[in-house]
Amino acid sequence: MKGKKTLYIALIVIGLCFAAASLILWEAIPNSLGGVLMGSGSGMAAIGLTRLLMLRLETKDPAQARRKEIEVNDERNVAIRRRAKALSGDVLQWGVMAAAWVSIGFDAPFWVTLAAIVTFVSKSLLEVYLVVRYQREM
Amino acid sequence: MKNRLEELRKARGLRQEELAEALEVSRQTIGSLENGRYNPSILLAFKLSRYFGVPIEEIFIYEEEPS
Repeated sequence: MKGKKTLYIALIVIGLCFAAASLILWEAIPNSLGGVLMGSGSGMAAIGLTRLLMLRLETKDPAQARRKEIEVNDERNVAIRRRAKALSGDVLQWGVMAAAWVSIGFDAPFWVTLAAIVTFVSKSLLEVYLVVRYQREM
Repeated sequence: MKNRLEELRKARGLRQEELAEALEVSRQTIGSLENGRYNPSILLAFKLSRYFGVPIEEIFIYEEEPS
């Protein structure tokens, strides 16, 4: 519990440092780097803060924390989440392929089409790898 | 797959929430099991069997589909 609290506080501090750095150094660093610092910094701070508040609620109400833990580990909920992730991954993969075709139609830069195709192929390869791995494991 | 979960639960005067808490699953899972919308894992089936003190085949009724 204490370790988690320290981790979340560290996340907030690092996030705020990143965001502050992007504001302080905005003239000295490229815009893209400033954007990355601000984006990742505010994201880290927000995640840290949310988790810290959740941790506080859980400490105050252990029964609620136990219910939440059961909800998260519930086998039906796990199955639903896995199915949703798998289907959304498939839909996204074919969406990326459609985007590749559309990018060709709109004469988009070559790297856009290439990136879409690489993403599609990578996902397919990862899927085959995982199928083989799970077949060995199960 | 059909089951007698609702019947067994009601016979013991339990609410879905109470059964869910005892088995460490969500109330929705109990509801889905009772409605036949969800088939449990073998582990949950054993938990149910032990909880009610009856064999699994007395809770879950497996009927082969006609070929």
